[in-house]
Amino acid sequence: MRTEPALAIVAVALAATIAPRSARADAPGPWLAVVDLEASVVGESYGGRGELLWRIGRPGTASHLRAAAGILPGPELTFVPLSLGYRALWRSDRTVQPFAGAGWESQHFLISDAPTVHRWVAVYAEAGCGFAIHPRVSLGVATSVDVALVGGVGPGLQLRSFASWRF
Amino acid sequence: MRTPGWLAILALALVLMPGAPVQAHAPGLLDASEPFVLDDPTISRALYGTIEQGDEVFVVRARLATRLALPFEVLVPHRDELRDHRPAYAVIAAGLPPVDPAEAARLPRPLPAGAGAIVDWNDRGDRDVVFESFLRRVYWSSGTVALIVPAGDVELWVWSPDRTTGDVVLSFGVEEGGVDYLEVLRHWSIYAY
Repeated sequence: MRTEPALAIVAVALAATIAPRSARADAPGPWLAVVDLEASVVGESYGGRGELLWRIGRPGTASHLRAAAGILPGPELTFVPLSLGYRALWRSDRTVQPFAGAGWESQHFLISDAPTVHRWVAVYAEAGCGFAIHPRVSLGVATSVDVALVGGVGPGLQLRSFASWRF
Repeated sequence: MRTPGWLAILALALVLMPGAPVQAHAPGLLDASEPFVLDDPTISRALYGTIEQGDEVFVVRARLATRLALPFEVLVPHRDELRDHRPAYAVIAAGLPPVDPAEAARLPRPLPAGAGAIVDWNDRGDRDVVFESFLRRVYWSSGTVALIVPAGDVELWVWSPDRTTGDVVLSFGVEEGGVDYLEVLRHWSIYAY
């Protein structure tokens, strides 16, 4: 199998990631607000999540810090995750905007007629892709997996669609 | 700015971490049309079934080499529509106490000849609520009861005395084995929802 085409693709992808972007007077700011509709596959629940991301550094940088909070009611429990993490969002000035990230999550499972189960240390990883419909607005889909490190073993899996606005 | 290498390492760890062995009750599926036979009664089990008509009786069979003290409980998903669903279970074996006639009349079928039984009617007013962390499910529990089961042939019966319908989980045993991920994935909708 020839490796040159694969290496060329990787080289182009890396160059697109690190190449400087020209600044525009009307360039969007460093903040990204995101609203998600989400389904939790493990621990059936459905709801929404709000996210706020802050770009680290100059325009064109992929790195963002992320804070998020959600509430997902289900037939047996209500899942309330609070997250802090990192997201790499590439090609933010292009139509197709893939991203990946990871971080820490504090998980609350609210149960009627029983004490809330709180798992205060979990780690998550996420990946998704947005599609720009406006210079500042994107729609997309994402998935995330998480695993609690304290308070009970068990992986989680969420699927979500989102709308984001950069300002 | 290039993506930090630690991000890739963390993502890889998250992918690999579920492959680490997890000790838990081994799952299985109950079928009212045939008994569930335990190969190794020392391994703790969580057996899932659905009472659809109200008159089903799930039967589990095992042969104990020695007398064992085993914990038993019956679980019902913590959902509003199952609030009144209280399946009972009976442990049946020779050497267990005889059942009085009033209680025997409430059993779903006659006991085998020579067998006694211990019955948990799951009629306690306040049921415990338990959170199962692996699949993130919540259940009402009949309460864990430790019973000394004699050596020999043992049967477990699970049924709904009030003929209510709904899901039920029979949980028993002490020695936790590894989770059979393939079994869980193969019947995901039964175990997870």
